[in-house]
Amino acid sequence: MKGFQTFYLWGMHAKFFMGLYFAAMVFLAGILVAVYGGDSLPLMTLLQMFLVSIVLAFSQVLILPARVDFSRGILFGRSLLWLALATVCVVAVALLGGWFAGLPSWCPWLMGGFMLFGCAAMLVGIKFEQNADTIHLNDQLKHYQR
Amino acid sequence: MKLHVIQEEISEPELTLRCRDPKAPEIERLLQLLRPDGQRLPVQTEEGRLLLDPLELLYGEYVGRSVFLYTKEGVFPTKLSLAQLETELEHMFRCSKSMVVNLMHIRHLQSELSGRILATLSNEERIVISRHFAAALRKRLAGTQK
Repeated sequence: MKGFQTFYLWGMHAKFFMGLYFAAMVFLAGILVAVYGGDSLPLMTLLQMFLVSIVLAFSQVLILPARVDFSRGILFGRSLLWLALATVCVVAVALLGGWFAGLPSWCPWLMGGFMLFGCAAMLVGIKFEQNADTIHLNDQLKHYQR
Repeated sequence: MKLHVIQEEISEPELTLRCRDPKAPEIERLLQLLRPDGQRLPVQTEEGRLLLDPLELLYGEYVGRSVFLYTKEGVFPTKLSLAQLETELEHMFRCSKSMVVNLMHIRHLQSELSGRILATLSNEERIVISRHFAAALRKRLAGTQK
């Protein structure tokens, strides 16, 4: 039961990121299709994007789990690894799945770059938030200890 | 520090401590020495019974059906429960199911992933405070700040 609970909570944590990545991919693909005169995305493309977002989210939670001590700079290496895997995965599936059939050949690469930038920005944002929270916590601690 | 002893015809001895900052560490120590033994923590050592100064307590931990008190000088078993330590001593905070920590001996707090907090104590030991107890810690610290 405890194992199931741990797995369920782990999945809940991943689902948030999964939704984020799916929305980001659909958004960019939709913009590119609209710019070139289209008004829809094929169902298979959406399903593939959904699967890719699951892979991205689960790999993130596996490579960058919350319970690991990253105090020795391991976080930076693992972050780079995850970003590289995420980018390669998105570009590969975009090319193989023909997400941008009929559109310029740079579209899948733009998608990869967009996802790379977005994921990196998200990790940096988490780091900024942590730093600000740390400062706030220590201010409160100093006040308490006075 | 100046020390004055004044002989007067009064019913019982009276001690008045004049200071600029009542919360200064040396004043706290003097007050601790002058408090009745009930404020001290009884522990058993090889040399016999010892009354521990609560100010020296880093944290208390429940291990193997016993509670141990940790100070910079050593580890001492006690018959007190964690609940008693938490409720009877002023600065003790329950940071996990099996540990209470002295907030006055926390040197630094670090915000971690998934809402956890890493506390570094004055003896450089590190304690991970889980998300559940981190929320309580934030409340406790916020409660002292206006």
